[in-house]
Amino acid sequence: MKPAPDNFQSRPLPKSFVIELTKRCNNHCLYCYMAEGPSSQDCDHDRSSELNTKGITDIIAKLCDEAPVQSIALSGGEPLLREDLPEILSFIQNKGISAVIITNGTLLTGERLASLGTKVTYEITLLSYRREVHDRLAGRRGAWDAVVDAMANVRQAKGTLVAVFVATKLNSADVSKTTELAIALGASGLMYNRMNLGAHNIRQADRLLPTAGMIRENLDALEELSGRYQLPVAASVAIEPCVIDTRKYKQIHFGWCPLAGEESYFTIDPRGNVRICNHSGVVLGNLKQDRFTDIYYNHPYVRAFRDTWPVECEGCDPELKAICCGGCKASAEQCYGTLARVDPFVTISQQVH
Amino acid sequence: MANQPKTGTVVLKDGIYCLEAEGKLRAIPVSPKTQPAQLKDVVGQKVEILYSEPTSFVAGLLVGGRIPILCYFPRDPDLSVVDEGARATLAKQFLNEGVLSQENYKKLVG
Repeated sequence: MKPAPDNFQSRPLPKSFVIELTKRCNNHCLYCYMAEGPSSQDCDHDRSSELNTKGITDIIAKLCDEAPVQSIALSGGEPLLREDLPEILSFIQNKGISAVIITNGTLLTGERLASLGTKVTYEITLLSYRREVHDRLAGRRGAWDAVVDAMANVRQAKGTLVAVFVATKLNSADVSKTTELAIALGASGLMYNRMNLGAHNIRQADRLLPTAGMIRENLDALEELSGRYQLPVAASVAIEPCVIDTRKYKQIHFGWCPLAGEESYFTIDPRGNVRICNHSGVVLGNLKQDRFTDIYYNHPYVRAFRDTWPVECEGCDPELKAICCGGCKASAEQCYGTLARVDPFVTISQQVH
Repeated sequence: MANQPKTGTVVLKDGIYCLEAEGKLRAIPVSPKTQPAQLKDVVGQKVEILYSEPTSFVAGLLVGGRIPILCYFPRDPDLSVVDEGARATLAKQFLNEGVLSQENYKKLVG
């Protein structure tokens, strides 16, 4: 156990939140990290359990009453499956909060884009410059064509576009040319997310999880491309420095777990359930009846999440530990059922395949 | 920039403005404060390295004997803007390779 500083109970409230508007999705991505796996876009059970427009906006209003909300990311499942997305987005924007839509892009037609406007950042997943590779990873034909159309639509409308590349064994060799395609399509930044493991997709780890060598090659390439094109590149899913020394990359911004602190992004699911982040499967309460501040300051899991240290990290270099904060604990918990194990990426990615 | 060079030269290579110093070529960070149109005027000119440390430095780009543009290496991500010329070149390349359709190419380049 790592001792908690005395001021943990008085730490500032977070400014950013993720709201998952639906669990449904029209893709069937091989790497999907949702704990229970993706559900069909037509799943009536999931649809009927989703909060309606007022339910969602009530929760946003409640969050704004309790926390200094500055940014909300609308996610899923696929958020564009919600027909009321424009109303929800307007509600957020009318409160002066910046909004991001995290989407697979396949439903972002010119018409949908016009209804949503360009005052929102679109985070769209582009898995390869090759149609067949993207479609294979996305789990359906036609996805790549729709994504490229969507990105071109955002560019034409002068909207803000961030391309997301999820690195797997099947597409890691495509990272350079896919990044250049994203630039051509108008991306103002690239998010490089190595595949993150969860309870559902760990069965695919052997087939899909990129090796440390693959990720190192990707980072080397992105470092060069970021400098050449002045493209901001962020690696949002933790790449633990015991696997790859990230300190040598000066152009790439690496994200680390905020450990339930001010920089955290607590996540609210379509039923109002609160989790510590979008990767965690542990429900801490429900905003229909619970106060966010009660969960943030008083839920025992929040402190445990911060204080529990993976046993595998005990002998690690303190400088590296300070950088990575124990890696993705949510991934470890999904895969092993405990916060006290290290992110499975650390062990699996270093195996020779 | 281990040896802390005092000067460099602005060059245009493959449509990208770069600073050549110590035998290395680095793309000049494009930002709202450093646009390609401004850089065009200083191609071939010597510029001053105002400050450097092992992993970063600041170059002052000279115009008319003065230093009107400061560039920070590596660039500040918040000020970074991808050069539109580079985007258009890539779009054309992907059109020629059949990756982009003519319709989407038109959306991208106007």
